[in-house]
This record gives sequence, structure tokens and C-alpha cells, in this order.
Amino acid sequence: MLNLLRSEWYKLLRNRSFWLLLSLLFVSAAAYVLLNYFDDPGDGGALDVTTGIDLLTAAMGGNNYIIKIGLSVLGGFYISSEYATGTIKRAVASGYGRSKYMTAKLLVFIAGSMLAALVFPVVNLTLGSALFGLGDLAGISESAYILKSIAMTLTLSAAFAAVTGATATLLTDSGKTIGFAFVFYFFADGLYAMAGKFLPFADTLYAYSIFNLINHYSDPSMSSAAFAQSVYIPLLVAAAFVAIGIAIFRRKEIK
Amino acid sequence: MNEYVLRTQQLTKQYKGQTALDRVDMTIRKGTIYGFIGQNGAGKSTLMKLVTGLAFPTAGSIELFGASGGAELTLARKRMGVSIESPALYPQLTAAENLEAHRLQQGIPGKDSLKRTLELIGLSGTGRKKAKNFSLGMKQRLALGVALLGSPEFLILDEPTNGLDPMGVVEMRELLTRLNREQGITILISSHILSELHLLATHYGIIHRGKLLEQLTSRELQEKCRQFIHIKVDQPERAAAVLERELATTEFEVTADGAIRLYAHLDRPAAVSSALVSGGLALEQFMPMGEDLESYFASRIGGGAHA
Repeated sequence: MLNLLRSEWYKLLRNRSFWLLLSLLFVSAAAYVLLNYFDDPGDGGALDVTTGIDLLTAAMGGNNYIIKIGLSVLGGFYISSEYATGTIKRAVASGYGRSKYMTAKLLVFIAGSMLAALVFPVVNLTLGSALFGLGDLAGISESAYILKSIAMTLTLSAAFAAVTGATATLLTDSGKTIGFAFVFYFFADGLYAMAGKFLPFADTLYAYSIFNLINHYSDPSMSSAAFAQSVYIPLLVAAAFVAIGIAIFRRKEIK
Repeated sequence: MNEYVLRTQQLTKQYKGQTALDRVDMTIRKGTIYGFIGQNGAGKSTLMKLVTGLAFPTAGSIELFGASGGAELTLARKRMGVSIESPALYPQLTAAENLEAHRLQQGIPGKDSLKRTLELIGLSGTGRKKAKNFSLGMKQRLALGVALLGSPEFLILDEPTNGLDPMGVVEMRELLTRLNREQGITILISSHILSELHLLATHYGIIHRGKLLEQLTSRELQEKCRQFIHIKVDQPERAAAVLERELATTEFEVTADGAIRLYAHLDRPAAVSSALVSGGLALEQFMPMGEDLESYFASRIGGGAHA
């Protein structure tokens, strides 16, 4: 298993899509901070971010889309491309069980996704704090908010990565994976709302779904119970979708 | 030690009701080079996919290094090197990086195996060039290199000479022969170039429409691809009588177009022609001929087909 993890990590670190995603996130985060820095409200500027913590809160709101879009693209290119290049054949024939191989693949993909999901908020926080100062929040200590933010970014990105990973395993095509994940993630809220009109249970399900949790995870006034939900529900979703991805792969014939 | 590397019994694969492989009993002995021959869609790749675990059999069994079924069979696949259909490579990685990814996966100790393998396949000078920029021949060689990493005991190669230039084909043949002779690696290989396969394989399997028609050794093939003297004369019946009377042989046949295939006196063509001319026959054609693997394959599957 360790060999598989090492090999997958080696491939991820040499995956162009991964580095392109990290670079784009880094540059856009830095650009966002600098835009705020050079935007002078006294000179008609519209941006009102004034501290590192403010930037972190704003970045986490935007990270919602980064996690959904960025990880879909990464999943498409990192997992599905193995089918396009045929390298999946070599992996399956390598003498490891399919479950082991897919576990390693998904775990490394999730780890890479968590790393990518951290870039935008962390760059905003560190660069913003360097330029504006850390700032403070009412009702919660800054360090607690930062730690909670990082924890929720990690768990939610893990959950979305697992869903994307299972989708990529099922669809085996980069374009289909990216397309399906885009459509599904962006219409999931609406689908739940529509289903809720007919099935009251769907509303409850949505309230505890990762799609709802990610919409609120930047809220500094989040209760401890809500925070706990934003940690364990994504972890359960991630575990479930890793299991689903493995189950799909175990039954999949490689063409 | 089990002398069989691979044995399949009644191996069957159906895709949506279509039979791709029909009750195949294949045996590959240790140390052999098994040339797998069949037309496109005959079932060659399907069998290879079943053996390598890419697809699941509908019925029948696979025994690899004596292991059959479940985790035992999966583990036995660690002793194989595989290249099926197109070369499976990471296009963004260099030759060395492609090998390194596989080395890490297989837990092969020491990076010196990369250098050795690159030299073995003739790609040590490719440096930072990415696999996506390789020619098809280079990709084939790199795919073989990946398959060879970790010193496999059994190589499964599906059309490894696709895209190679004539020199590349010769080099590939020499490399595979060397690996077989020096390291005792058993090889299952399919190729469209039957003349090349003829120079390489020690055993053959002929598959057609999912059925394994025949398995034979190169010696058996040699015997079946009989050599003969092709004779065309103005009076075939009289020629037959002359052959029986003057050369005391009945080892000939008269084909539908009136030509004679003489299977005896192959080392005495002058005596044969002299007997026929003395018998008052006009020789129109007279030449030594024989079947090769290609014509034998065509005759086994009913003729006119391409492998």
C-alpha cells in the first residue's frame, strides 16, 4: 500500500493540471489581496476589506467555487486521464488488488485536493495579514477562527474530492467527469430545493449536506454544533464516496 | 516448480451476449515464446485482458504460476510485465520518470534499475523529452521498458512492434530473444507481422472468432508447412504417371488448377525435371515452394484473411 501511495504522490507532483491549479489559485489570491490593498475607499474604491481576517472570510466564501470547479478539473485530469492514456491497465495488472490501488489513488487525490483548497484562503490570510495586519473578530478569537476555517476547508474539500473521485472512476473520461461535476455541483442546491417541495425529508437532507455546509462555512458566528457538523459530515461523506469509488472500480472492466 | 506459466480452462468471455472468447484452453510453458495469432477481433486482446485482470471471465478459469482465483491470482500478476494494445505511458513524464513511477509502485529497490532499463531499450539519451513527444516506436520501447522493470518472469506483449521501423522490429526481436534465452523470461506476444513472429516464437496459438483453433510448437509448424516442388505441365495426368513410374513416388497431389505438388525428391530437382522431360512433357513451371506461417494461418482460418 505504501508503494502505491508513493507512486501516486509522485505522479500527482508531476501532474501539470495540479501545478496549474495551484499556481492559478496562488496568483488569483495574491491579486485579490493586492487589489484590496491598492483600492482606496477614500478615492472611490468599492472594496472594504481591511484586515487579514477579513480577507480570510472573503476568501472562504470564494473558496466554495474553487473547491467545486478546481477539484472537478483536477479529478478529471488526475483520475480519468489514467483511462485515456491506458496507464490504468498497467496499474490493474501490477499485482495489487483493485481496492488497494483505488484506495491509494483516491487518498492521494483527496490529499492533493485539500492542499489546493488551502491555497486561496491561506495566501489571503498570510499576505493580507502582512499588508493590513491580522485584525480581530467579535465573539471569537482569531486563532480559533483560523483553525476552524482550515479544518472545515480540509474536511469539505476532502468530501468534494471524494465525490469527484468516485465520479471520475465511474465516467472514466476527463471531459465527462468535469462536465458532470460542474453541472451537479452547481445545480445540487436547486435540485434539493425542488425535491424539498415534494419530499420534506429532502430539505432535512440538504441542511446536513456538504452542498449546504459549504455555503455557510465562512461564517465567523458559526456555532460549535454547526462547526462539528461541518467537520464530521464531510468526513463521513468522504469515507462513503471513497468506498463507492472502490466498489465501482472493483466491478469495472478496463477497455 | 510448476512448468506452466499460464493455463486457461474453458475460458469464456461474453460482451452483451456476443462471445468474444469461447471455451479457450491455452497452455504456455515456462521459457517459451508463445506467438498468439489471430485476425482483428479474434479474441487475442480479450484473452490478454482476462489474464492481466483488466476484464472478468464469463466462465472458465485462469491459472498463472500455479495460482488460480482471488488474491492468489492477483499476487501472481506481480510476476508479469504487461503492455496491452497501445503503449500505456504518462505523456507529461519523461522516459525516466515513467519508469520511476512504476518502480515506486512495484517497490523495486534502487534507482540503478532505471538506468539499466533505459540502456536496454535504447532510450538512455532521451533526457527531458516527454513521452508525449516520442515517436510511436520510442513509446513502444518505453512501454516494453516499463514491463521489464522489476525483472518479470512472464511478459505479455500485445502488438509490441506496432509503429516500429524495420530496424526497430529487428532490434525488438533480438531483445525479446535475448531476454528469453538469457533470463528465461516466458513471453506471450501477438503481432500482425507473422513473418517476424515466425522468427521469434517457439510456440504458436491460432485464434479465430474467439476459439483457439490450434496450439503448436515451431517444430510442428515446420512439419505442417510442408515444402514441395511446384510443377506445371501440359498433361498433369501423364506427369502423375511418370512420377509414379520413373521416381517411384506417390507423395504428390494434383491441385484443382492442374498443378502438381511433389513432396518427395526435394533434394533432386534435376532428376525430377529430367524424368518429366524424358516422359515427353512440356514443363511450364517448376519451382521449389512451401507454406510459411502466414499461408498456414490463412489456411487454418479459411483463407483470405489478414492477421
